[in-house]
Amino acid sequence: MCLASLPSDRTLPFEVERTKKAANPTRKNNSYLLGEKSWQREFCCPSASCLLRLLALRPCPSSFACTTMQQNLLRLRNKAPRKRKASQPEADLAEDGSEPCSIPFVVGSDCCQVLDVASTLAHAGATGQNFVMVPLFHERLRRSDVQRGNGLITRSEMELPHEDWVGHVVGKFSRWIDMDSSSSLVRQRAEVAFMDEYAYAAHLGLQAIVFAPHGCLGANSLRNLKLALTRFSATSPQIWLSLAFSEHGSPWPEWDKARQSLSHDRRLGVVLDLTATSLPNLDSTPTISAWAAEPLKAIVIPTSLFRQNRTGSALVVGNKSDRSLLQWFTHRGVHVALRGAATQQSDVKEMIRALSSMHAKSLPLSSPQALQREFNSKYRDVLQSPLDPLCVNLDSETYQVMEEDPVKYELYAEALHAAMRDIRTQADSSATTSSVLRVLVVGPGRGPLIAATLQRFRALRKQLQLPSSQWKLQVVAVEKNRNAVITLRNRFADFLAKGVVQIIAGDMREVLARRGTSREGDGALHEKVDIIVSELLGSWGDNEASPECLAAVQPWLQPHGVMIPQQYCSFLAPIAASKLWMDAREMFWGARGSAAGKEGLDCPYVVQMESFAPIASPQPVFQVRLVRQFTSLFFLLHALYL
Amino acid sequence: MTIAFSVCAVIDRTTQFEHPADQPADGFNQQQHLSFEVSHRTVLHGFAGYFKCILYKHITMSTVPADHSEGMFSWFPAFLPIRQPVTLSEGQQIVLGVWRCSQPRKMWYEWSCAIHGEAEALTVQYFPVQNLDGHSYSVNL
Repeated sequence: MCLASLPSDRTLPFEVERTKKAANPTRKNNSYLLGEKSWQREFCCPSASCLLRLLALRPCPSSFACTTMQQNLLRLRNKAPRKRKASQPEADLAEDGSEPCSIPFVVGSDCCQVLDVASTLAHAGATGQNFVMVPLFHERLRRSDVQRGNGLITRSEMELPHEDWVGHVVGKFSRWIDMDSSSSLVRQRAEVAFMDEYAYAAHLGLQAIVFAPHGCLGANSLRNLKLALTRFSATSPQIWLSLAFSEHGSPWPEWDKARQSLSHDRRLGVVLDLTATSLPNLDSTPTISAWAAEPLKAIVIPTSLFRQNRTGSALVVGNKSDRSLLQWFTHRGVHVALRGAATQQSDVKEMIRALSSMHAKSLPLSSPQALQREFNSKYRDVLQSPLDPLCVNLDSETYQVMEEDPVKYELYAEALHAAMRDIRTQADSSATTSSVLRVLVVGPGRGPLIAATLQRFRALRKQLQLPSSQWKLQVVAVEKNRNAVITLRNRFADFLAKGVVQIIAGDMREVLARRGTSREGDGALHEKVDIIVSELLGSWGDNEASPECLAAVQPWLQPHGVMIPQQYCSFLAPIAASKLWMDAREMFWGARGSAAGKEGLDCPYVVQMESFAPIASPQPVFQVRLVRQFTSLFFLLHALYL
Repeated sequence: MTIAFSVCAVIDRTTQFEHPADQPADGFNQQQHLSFEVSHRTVLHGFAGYFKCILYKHITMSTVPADHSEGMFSWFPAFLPIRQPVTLSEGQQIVLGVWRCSQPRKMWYEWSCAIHGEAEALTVQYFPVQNLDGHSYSVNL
């Protein structure tokens, strides 16, 4: 079913405000439902993919809602039988193409003049492009107020079905618009045309319209840009500033000026025009890396960049340095627009094939890094609130995600192994061999550290060729989350029966304070332990209150005992990250009244950062050293001595 | 892995030795002042937070980009935004103050940054302390 066949009294849900109406008749179980059944059917057409892309571009009530809506849409799309009209442009090269890429790769063309928008789009679709950038009005038509009243000033919107305007067309402002001209007549005319064209783009429902300033952006251009974004609703088209790399270098300062003057508006994006000079070198940091932090939407490259390969059988993209530059952009989801002459359709096809193979080549698909990347891609640039594990019990899903890390638990197991071996060696040499090794696991969750302790102890005992009677293990675990305790009691039932594992339900700070008053079997700890192992670190080291927790636990450590971890230190580095900043700013916008005036920019977040550029190296902030009481004086003296 | 011990604020049992037992919570209240050199024109939006950890002797894990434990994805970085993005030029300094504060039932961070000019004494811009008194964010203890 095609979107164009929707009943006329319904507006299409392509803008978030409208999407909210359609998608949010009910908000149940923290998930946005996609309206009625009939709506769901509409979403299942191939154009739903443009919608997904659109949602990613548009401002949203909250990033959470946006993500959930996207997930629902994806689910719907996956259910739907895929049918594609022959005349429709290939919507998703990256998703449907032969290259399985986790990062979408979107390519299109930047057209200077378009006579027939329908045939231009059909041609683009036939060559595998996803979008076209076209002027909305004829370049030579410099309308005045008189002309606005009568006559045709541009083509009819009926030339394309609505979903094509929305999904595949990026508009362009007329290039003659110079709102900073010294002539007041030119300026006035430009202002009128600018507002007209933006209004028309909003009418068509375009995702974005490109504005290429004449030289430097002056105060009057900035004023009018701001005016357009203010007059129209928050779901009006984005304005992408087209800025050129020139012999003077990166246009970043120009972009910074615009972004600041426009109050960091989310609808402002940037298109980098790389056609004026030869492509800049990727290594010339920070020229390029600075763009990682910016809402860079597309790059424009010349078709002259493509050349025949050595055998003349296929086209390749520029030289090696050009390719690595373009890969740097495409990996960040930046769209690529081709500009310039391409005589034949097959040429364009070849160019796109060259680009997509270049993009795919640099993605190692089976390596651990790729798996990690795949895992991270779900969370890319999504702000999350840090966990509050002392107050809120973690749920099963969170535990599962945390346990999936292949590296962390291996490191813990190695540390346990080394510590157990050292304790045994030390005990052997001092001839005070205790036959029992006591390990205290604080906050074991669903038990990965208990399992690691049991397994590594067995391995070590075998390695040292000790009979089980000579060296026994006793594990005590203190877990606050009662739901996780159920899992622990099931998982280690055999060990519990044998008395190898003891599980105490309760907050470690309370349980371990019951020292002295405790009796056997009362769910308290009775003897000091050789190893205390915990995984209480947050993203920023001590941000989940691990020092407070471990201070309560520490008196239970034997004089020769080992704390794992031994010490940790948090670090901070200054960064540029406009998207993250804008998301943080809007964090409590929707719920300002109810959230007791919480300020989104005053909260720390946890986020898999992709869109950022570091400014300086990280520096240490707070260090926590978990040392035994009797040695701490030594540490103090040592520090003074240093 | 190296952690620059000398420049860190140290929280450990030593602190508790030195402070009387009637104010144990203060043992974990810390502050730190850092200064970052700006080497190129850029814009500051906030700070990325990482950690390094010594599990036992030479066995370490880190989320600091330069020596990130390969393949480990349990921890994403932290992000501490500033109130208003600020454009920086080469030679300027970002001076950041960070506080770890706690009360018996909650713990939080506060931060505040200032931009210093090339000349030491010239401060270009100050920002107010963020999350003062844990107003917007705190962790329950």
